[in-house]
Amino acid sequence: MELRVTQGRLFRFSQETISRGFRELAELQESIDDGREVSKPSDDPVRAARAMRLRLQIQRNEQYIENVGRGIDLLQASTDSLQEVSDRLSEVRSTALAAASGTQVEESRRAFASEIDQALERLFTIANTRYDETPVFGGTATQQNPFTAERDAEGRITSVSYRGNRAVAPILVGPDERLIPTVSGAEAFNDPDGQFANLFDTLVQLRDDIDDVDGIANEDLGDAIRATLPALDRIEGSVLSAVGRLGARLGETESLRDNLRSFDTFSRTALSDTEDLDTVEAVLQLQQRQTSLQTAAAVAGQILNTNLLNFFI
Amino acid sequence: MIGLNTGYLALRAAQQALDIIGNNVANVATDGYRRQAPSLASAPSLRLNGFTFGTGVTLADIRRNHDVLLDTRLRSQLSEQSQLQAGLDLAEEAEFILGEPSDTGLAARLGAFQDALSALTASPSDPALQADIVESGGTLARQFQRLARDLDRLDGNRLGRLENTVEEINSMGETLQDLNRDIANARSSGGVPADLIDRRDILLRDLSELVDLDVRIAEDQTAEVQVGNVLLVGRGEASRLAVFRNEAGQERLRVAGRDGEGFVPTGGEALGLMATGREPVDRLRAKIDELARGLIDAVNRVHGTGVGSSGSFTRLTSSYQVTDPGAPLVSGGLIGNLEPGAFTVSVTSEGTGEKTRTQIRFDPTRQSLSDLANQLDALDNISADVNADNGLTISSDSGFTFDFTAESGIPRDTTGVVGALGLNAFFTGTDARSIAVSAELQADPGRVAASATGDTGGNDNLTDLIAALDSGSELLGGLDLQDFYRREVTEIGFQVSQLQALGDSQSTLVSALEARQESLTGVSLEEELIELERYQTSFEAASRYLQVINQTTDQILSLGL
Repeated sequence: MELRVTQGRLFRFSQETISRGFRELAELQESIDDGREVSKPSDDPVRAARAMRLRLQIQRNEQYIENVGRGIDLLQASTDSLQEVSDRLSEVRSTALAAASGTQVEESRRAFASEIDQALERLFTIANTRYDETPVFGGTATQQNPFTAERDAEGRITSVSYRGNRAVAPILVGPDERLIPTVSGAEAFNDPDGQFANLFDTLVQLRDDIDDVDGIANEDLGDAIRATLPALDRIEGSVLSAVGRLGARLGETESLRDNLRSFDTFSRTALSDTEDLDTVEAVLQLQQRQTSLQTAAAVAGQILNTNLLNFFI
Repeated sequence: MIGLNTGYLALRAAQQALDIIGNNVANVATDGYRRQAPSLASAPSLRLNGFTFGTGVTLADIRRNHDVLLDTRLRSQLSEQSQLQAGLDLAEEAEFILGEPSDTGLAARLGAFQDALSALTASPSDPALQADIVESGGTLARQFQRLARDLDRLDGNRLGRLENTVEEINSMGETLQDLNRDIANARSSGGVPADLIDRRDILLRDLSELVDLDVRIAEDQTAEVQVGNVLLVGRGEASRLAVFRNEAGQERLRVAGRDGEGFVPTGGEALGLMATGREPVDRLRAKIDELARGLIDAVNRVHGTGVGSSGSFTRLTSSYQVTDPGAPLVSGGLIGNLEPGAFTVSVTSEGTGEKTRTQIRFDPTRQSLSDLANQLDALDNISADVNADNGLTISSDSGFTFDFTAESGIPRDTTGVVGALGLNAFFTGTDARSIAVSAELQADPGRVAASATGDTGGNDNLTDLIAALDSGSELLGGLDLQDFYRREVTEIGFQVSQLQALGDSQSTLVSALEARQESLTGVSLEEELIELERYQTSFEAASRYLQVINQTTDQILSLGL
């Protein structure tokens, strides 16, 4: 059948062409305004799913970065505390050596004993250090101070016991990565060979020996002190090794944080590649579509104005 | 004297043809108007003096251009087009309700909840972080509720629209019935009621957009319309259709006021609303509920056996109830899988801090809630009973507290009973509509169960919880929560884009058919103007001829005088 060209057909065709042109323009405008090429799943289901995965990845990674930050603070706090413990222990050692060398009289012995007692008190305070209201060296038993002291009538520490545990709560810093941000008090302050229950008992022993003017004669004091020194050395070694381990972990954790940060940048770039619009291309496309719409409108205007009425009558 | 009559007939025929052309030109923009064309025929001849003379021209017929087959094809394609459009509208709306991918959708809310759990690992007894978990859990629950509500509303609108569509079908059916009567009347009085037939065809076209039709045009131009197995318009009264839901919850059409299985139409907006668009919405509603159940199960199962910095409990009531406390627990309608195994009850003396841990062996496939209550009740310093709601209430004697923690390294609950009953639950509710953070946790975020052993600085329960949310759930076909949700988002995306593609190609097809129909039946001004010239000329010639006849008559008369 020969196709008759009717007015209805011409109008409809022009109308469809022009409204399709406008629709395409509107879609493009929407994308440009939004800045995203994939703003809903139906735009491209596979890319939308990838965008969702990347968003989740970014969201999680941000949390890991925050967790690592907290881990680093905690590691720093533990390391600083243990470093101070180590410094104090060196002082105690010099005090003990000074007390052991030469001949002491009662007065000087009391002074040495008091010096050691002060160090003991300071170390006790450090052992109960809190970071953000939580004891640092108590393991997971954080409901109370990890170390408690028995005191005599004069208020001097006679023994210290550990109420914490050996479990340190690991911080989640990656899908399968955990950071142990400190050491337990049991690990840090104990005599590894176990001659004394812990650091504090060793110091109590040392202080009491020096102070015990009646029990230990001045000339026997050196031997008594030297008997305690190996324990002191072992504990100092244990503290130093903890400082070393925490320091190394601190270094690793800082580089982990850098990794997480660059992963963040990487994920954001990937997300942008996945769902964002190439603006330059979009603007070019906009111009192209505008041109074709204008052409369609011009053609429609020409054709719809052409009919026999212009020539007849 | 044939001449005068011939001239008169020629004038009349040209005049009538001009009238018809005039009507075509007048209706150039009328929707559904079909071009009419005069069909002229020579008048019966006359035998005179041994010769046969023609006697002029008459208007034999007014032809109305149309093609029944094309009409039928166009109607069925229109049906499919509006079916796809109705389906697409619903699917797009569902896609819009999900609002993914974004930073405020369900995926992000779920992610924020998971992050809040991860944050607490760094500082398990920090009240601000505990509060953040309760807060983000609440936001997540509200997001579920909002989705469920919006999807319910969408479904309600769909049903309302379907009822409107059926009402419209009925009212068009009645109009068509009236038209049939008018057409039959006009026919019997002899005319070709082109305007009525045009109206009939427009009505049939519009009706086919609502529902797929079988149309039979009878000899007398009346239309018989069959929808599914119902004769909507026939010789008698028009039938009225109604929507109903069958036992399976599916929507069907049938004659209003009658029983019967009903039918699903094969096309049109009605089918789009009943099936094409309903399926993705229904699927999404079901999947969002499944996801909510998967979340409730995964979280409560781990949370129940832990303890927060607020410490152990003196009294716990299960959040969930069973249908029959005497029946095996597996048949009690609880969320999640229950298996034979054991869990630990840990009783702490507040005075000494001493913990007594007892393993409770329980087989939920054989034992009931009452059995469980009896087993717990037999423990020292613990009493347990089935409460009036068919739930479980456990309390400890004064001076004692209890929880479900265990020594580290011992699996805490291999039965799933603690979580399924919602003892020390994080979430309450059973689906997306009802999910909420438990009132106890909202009142005291310190109950966020970070520790699996009872040590307040422990975060082992948190890490277990985080792992549970990231691992596949039996309730979700082995997928984890995020993967399950993302699959549904992708699915709706595919459905929408598929419907869009189908709709686009359907529109192209419909446009092509409409163009054909327009080309066959539409008015072309050029054509009409040419015809106008033709009949004008014919009219002028006939006038001239009459003038000549007139003159010859005058001359004859003057001869006689």
